[in-house]
Amino acid sequence: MSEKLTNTIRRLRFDAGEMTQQALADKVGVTRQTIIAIEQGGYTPSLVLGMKIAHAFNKTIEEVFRLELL
Amino acid sequence: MNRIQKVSWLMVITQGSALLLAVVAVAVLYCLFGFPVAKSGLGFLGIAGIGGLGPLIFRKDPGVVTCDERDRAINSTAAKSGFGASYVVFYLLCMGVFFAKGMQGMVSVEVLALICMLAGITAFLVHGLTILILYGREKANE
Repeated sequence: MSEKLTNTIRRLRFDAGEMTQQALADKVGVTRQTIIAIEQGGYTPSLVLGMKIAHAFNKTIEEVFRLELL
Repeated sequence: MNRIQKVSWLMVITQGSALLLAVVAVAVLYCLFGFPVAKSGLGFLGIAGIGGLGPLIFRKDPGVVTCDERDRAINSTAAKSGFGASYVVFYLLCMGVFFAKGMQGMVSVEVLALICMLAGITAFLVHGLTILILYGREKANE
């Protein structure tokens, strides 16, 4: 059984007053490249980073990340 | 391109150039002058040392965060790959000498140093290549 992690970070950024990737990166303490990689699905963040991202948008982690079992 | 990628590029170029030039030089000198003189072509391996200047040449990235968990994960994977590759090269070279010379054979001590140097160059070369591949794979999706 394979799995795929998707996220809504890009949409949440635009909903949060068109927050830039750099602004989000500064908020959660990572580089802009990492935010890009997470948005594109190229990198799976750690639990702590995932929760920081969710906290940055005042959302729960399940509202930001979704695991699809294929 | 971040600092880690720049240092990796320098490492790949210097290590690759050192290996390539050494092989070509030894081959050419061997054809022209034979084996004892051909060994002097190994001097090109010294170019590999320039890769160590990378952290001095490339300054710290601007911004608050210069290295995060993803960078550390990529570096960790690259280090493991480099170590694994160098171990394989070291093992193959040692066993190659053993099978070439046999149980009663003898080799000059410089062969030991050469094996260690080649394993070391392999480690840094594979480390740099792995970093570039892992960053590049994600960049393709940007």
